[in-house]
Amino acid sequence: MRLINAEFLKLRKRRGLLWGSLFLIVGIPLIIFIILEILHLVNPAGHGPPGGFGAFGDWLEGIASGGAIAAVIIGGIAGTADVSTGVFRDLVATGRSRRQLFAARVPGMMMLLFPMITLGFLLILLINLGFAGSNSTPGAVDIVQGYGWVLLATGFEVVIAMGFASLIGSRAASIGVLLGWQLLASPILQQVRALGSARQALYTSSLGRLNPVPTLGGPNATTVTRSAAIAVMVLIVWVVVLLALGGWRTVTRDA
Amino acid sequence: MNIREGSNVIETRGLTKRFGERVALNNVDITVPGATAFGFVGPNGAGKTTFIRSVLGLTRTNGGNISLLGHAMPKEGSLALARVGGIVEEPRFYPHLTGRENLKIIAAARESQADGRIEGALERVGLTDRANERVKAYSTGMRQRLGVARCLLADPLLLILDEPMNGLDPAGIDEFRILIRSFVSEGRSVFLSSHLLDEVEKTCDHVAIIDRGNVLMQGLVEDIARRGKPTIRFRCDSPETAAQLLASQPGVEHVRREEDAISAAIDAETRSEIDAIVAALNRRLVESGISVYAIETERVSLEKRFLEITSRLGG
Repeated sequence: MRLINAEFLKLRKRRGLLWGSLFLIVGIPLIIFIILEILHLVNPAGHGPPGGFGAFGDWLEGIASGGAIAAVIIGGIAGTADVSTGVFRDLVATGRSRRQLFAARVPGMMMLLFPMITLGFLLILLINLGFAGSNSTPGAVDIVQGYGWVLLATGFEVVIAMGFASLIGSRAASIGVLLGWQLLASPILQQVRALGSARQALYTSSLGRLNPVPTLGGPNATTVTRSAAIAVMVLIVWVVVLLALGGWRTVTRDA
Repeated sequence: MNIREGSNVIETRGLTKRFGERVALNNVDITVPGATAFGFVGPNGAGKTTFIRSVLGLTRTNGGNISLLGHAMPKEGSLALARVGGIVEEPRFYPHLTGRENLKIIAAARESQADGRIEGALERVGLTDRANERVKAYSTGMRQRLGVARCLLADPLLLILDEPMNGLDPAGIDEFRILIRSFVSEGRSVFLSSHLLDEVEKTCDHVAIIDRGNVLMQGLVEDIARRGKPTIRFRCDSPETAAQLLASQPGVEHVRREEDAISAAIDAETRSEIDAIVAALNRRLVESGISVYAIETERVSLEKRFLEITSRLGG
């Protein structure tokens, strides 16, 4: 637990990371809400209320997207900070197992990310319940499932980002590659029909498949993954492979 | 807590480390006795840091054995390193954290008692008042001291310090020397690598000289400085005549003339050989009517010995 707290301390004391992540997860939804509410108040006929069950899925997607970017940055920093600052050698020189040093990063990151995700989720819950107008509101099951999914999606992102960053050792490169993959390459690949069922290996597709709440585009509009079991397996494989590679590099690199 | 007298804190046998074709450590045998300050000197690139990194298990070696506090490295690393504090190259920290927070991070990687040693360590190195400032605002000297504080979290039997006096001003060097000697007086051992030979001579009891990955000599500082061909200084009333006279005497390598004396480099190494030559030279001077006021053996500094041994001395 002391190692995990130490990881959390290293991350939470980075003011830029903390405020930047909060902006992505809470700030942007708040700004969008304010704009939508103003539009609704000015022109109720043209713009419906920002909340309600119909918009809940989009709000979830939004917070998951902002959270994913924050997660990639947090994971990229957590995976490289010890080496880039030069403190890794001092940690190794304590005699503590390198595997333990690596493993402690995962809960340490979660301790930073999940409270912010929870805060963001509470905000969209307030929007969807309090500013629904005459629309129906999400039920308790939707809320619980939605919260679980957004934690899963961002938790997954932060773990693979840390594993990947630990593997390649460069914060900028790992963050750049993962954001590029997520925002550009993965959506494009998902549209390439020639790839057929191989597209199910894309984790963005698996996360979309597991989203419990329909978006405005319809249920699972953005995914090519047909089965929830396959989606879960794909996510597990990504996590296991990237954690194994990151852990291997941490154990074998010169300190 | 003290190390048993006579036991060695570091022992390497045949330690070899290569970087591609380049041999950084070539069959290095080092023995560091307990409860001493051990200086590890060599020019830049001699292999000092590579040796330290190997001993601490930070890098893989290509051959040989390492024993640290009686434990085989790297196999029993967690046992050995639990009581070792080390600074490799310059001490590095998380710049966005305070001094105290940086110590908390390392304490978390050590045994649980390490948390309770943070305040004592800060006090010991004189950083209590600045412990809540971010490390990025620290001077070089403060970082060195914080590095030592970090070592103290282990309640170390052995401190391994790599060039700890780099970047320190004379007052800082003096403080550091006192700190190291205080550790030794507590029964701890200090392994100190440096290229500041004068400091090693003032601070350490034992020394090893390394160059191009080979250990050229090791032993007590005094012995190493004394070993080799001595220079004998004759204070006399006619130095010019005396210099001409002694230059041609057997057993004299060369003679240097000073204002009221001459210095003769003696071509002998054993005490008895040297004594015999000095007696003969004295006799020759007196027989030639030169009054000899004093005969002194010139103190050979570690630096001079180092330069001789590593062939860095011209002529």
